[in-house]
Order: sequence, then C-alpha cells, then structure tokens
Amino acid sequence: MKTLGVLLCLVFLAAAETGPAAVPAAGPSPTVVPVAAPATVPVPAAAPAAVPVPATAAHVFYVSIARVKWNADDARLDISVRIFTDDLEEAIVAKGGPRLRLWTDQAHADRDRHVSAYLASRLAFRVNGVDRQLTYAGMEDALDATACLVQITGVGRVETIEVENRILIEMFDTQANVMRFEIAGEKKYVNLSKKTVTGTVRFGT
Amino acid sequence: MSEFQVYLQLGFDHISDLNAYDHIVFIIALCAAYPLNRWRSVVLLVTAFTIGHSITLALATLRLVLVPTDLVETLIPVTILATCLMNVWRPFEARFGRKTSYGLALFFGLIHGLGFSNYLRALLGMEESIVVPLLSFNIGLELGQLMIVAIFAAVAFVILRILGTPHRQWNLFVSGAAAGVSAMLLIGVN
Repeated sequence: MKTLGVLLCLVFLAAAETGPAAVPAAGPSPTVVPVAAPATVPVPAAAPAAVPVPATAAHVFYVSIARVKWNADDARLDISVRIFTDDLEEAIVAKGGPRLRLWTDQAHADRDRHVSAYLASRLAFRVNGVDRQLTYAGMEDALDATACLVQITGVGRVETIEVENRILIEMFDTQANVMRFEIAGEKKYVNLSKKTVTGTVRFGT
Repeated sequence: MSEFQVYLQLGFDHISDLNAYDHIVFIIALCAAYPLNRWRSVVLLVTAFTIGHSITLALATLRLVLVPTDLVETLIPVTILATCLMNVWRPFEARFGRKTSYGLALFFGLIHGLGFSNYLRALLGMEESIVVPLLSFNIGLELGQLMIVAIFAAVAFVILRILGTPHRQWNLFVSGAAAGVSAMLLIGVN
C-alpha cells in the first residue's frame, strides 16, 4: 500500500504542475480573409511575460480530420478542418511565423491571417476538374483541436473533387489526414498521408 | 474507403505507432510477468485492458466524462510503473490473487481509454454519428494490441525456450526496462 501511496502523491504533484486547461478566448472568428492574399507577414509578436508551455508527451496522435459538405442552397462547399492546436501552432512557427497562442488570453492579433495562409499552402481543391480558391471563414476552439473553416463558393453541382492535403506532413512522418465528403447525402472518405497527398472522389455515379 | 476502414486504420496505426510508445510499453509490461505456458492469463489481461479502455473511450467521446489531457498523460506512465512494480514484487499475486491483476488491468484500461478519447473527441465534433468511428477505432486498437502481444511472445519464446533464460530473469529485465521508460515519461523527459 505504501507504493500506491507514493504513486498517488506523484500523480497529484504532476497534476498540480500542469495547471488548469486553457480557456477559449473567443468564439468563432468572424473575419473573412481571402486565402489567396500574399502571406508575407513579418510579425513582431508582443511577447507576453509568462507563457504556458504546452505539455509534451510520448503519447501522440498525428491526425487531422476534414469535413467537406456541399451546401446546395448557397452553392458552396463548407470545409471544416480539425487540427490539433499545438501542432498547428508549431507548424506556423516552423514556417517562420509567430506563435499564435490560440484560445488563450494572449492570442496573436493576426492569427486568422497566419492560419489562413497555412491552410492555403497545404490544401488545394479541384472541383469538377477546375482549380478552386479557398476562402477562409474563421476558426473555432474544439478542446485540444482547432476547427478551421474554409469555403469554396459558386459550386452549383459536384461530380468530382480532387483534393491535395499536405497538412502537417512537413512536421510529422506519421501524420494522417482524414477527409470526409458529404455531397447531397452521399458520403465518401479518403485517408491521406505523406505517402499519398492527393485523392479523388466522385459523386452521383 | 469506407468510414469503418478509415477509423480502423487510425486505431491500428495509433497503437502500433512507435511515436506513441507508451501504450506499447504498457502492453509489454502486462505480458512480462507471465511465462509462455500461461498465455491464457495474458489473453484475459489484454481483454480486461481492452474492456476498460473501450468503456472510457465511449464515455469520453460521448462527452459523459471529461478528464484533462495533461492529467491523463501523467496517469498513463503511472499505470506502466505500477504494472512493472507488481511484476517484480513476488508476493503480489500470492497476496491478492489473479482476479486483482485482471481488475487492475481493467482499471488501467479505463485510464488509457481517456487518452485515446481526448484525441478522438477533439477531432470528431458532434455533427455526425460517432458510433462507427468509435467502434472501428476500438477494433483497430485491439488488432494493434494483439500484434504487439504476438511480437512480444515471439521474442519471449526465443529468450525463454531457445536460450533457456529463467523466466524470473526475463521478467525482471523487461519490467525494469519498462519501469525506466515510464519514469522518464513521468518526469517529462522525452
């Protein structure tokens, strides 16, 4: 029982050290930034004094999940990409950007611009054989992940979608990028990775 | 690719990913105390572990329980360390019996399940049914665990049967190594 007691003490010590989870600073960001805008943003971030360092552990799960849903009424593809917030921030830092500290009190003022630029550099869509531009539509806090929202407008029908997804593959060799498509009730999945960055899905056939 | 295949693969890849070695080390620690002729006990232990992590994976993904990721990631190496200490502490089974081992494996499974679910929940969102993702992810985890057990058993066969090492020595070696890894995880050295 002594052993168990020591273990329990260790647990509480470690738990106390990690402190409370970060509280989301704001809801979905309303800013709409065209992704195509040149993404040269040299940002001297206002460095806050005390910054909680995200806990790192050997326990890692390198996955993003994107949902692509056709909104027939607005002739639009709504795309939500859920990426682990710490990985997303790390990737932006690795590209020379600032640390965004998303969903904290010290979130970077220009966070939407950096996130949209990152998505633009990692995601590409061809709808019915035509390259389409992504429009950034904000982001939402999803606990450990961030749901990044992008749209493709003027999509009146969907026969094929060719997609290229390079999210985080520059960071992690085992990154998996799952994409779920839902077009007029028809659901399809592709699972992309460093080995296979592109996928094609067909609908209404 | 179907939804089932996608999440099955995610589960399998996650448990067998060498970057996520904490689960692998835990499975190895579970197996270490058992000589080859007690493989039935190992199967029961791993099954108890699976039942445990299936329960919390479901509860947490359905948002019925919420445990902070940091706490879970601290508790996981604790489960490894505890398993190793019990492996090498001879009187454990004599005093508490095998049922205690299965109960503990189930309890430790509950903790590991929280680890899986925090990640899955963050990515899945609430807008669609999560029954298929949850089930197939779990089956993928289970298949991955069985693969780890099989590889470990093959190595153990060579060490114990072919090289003739006494099981107690093998257990001490493996449990000691696993305890070292868990201690490193616990103090945050990666």
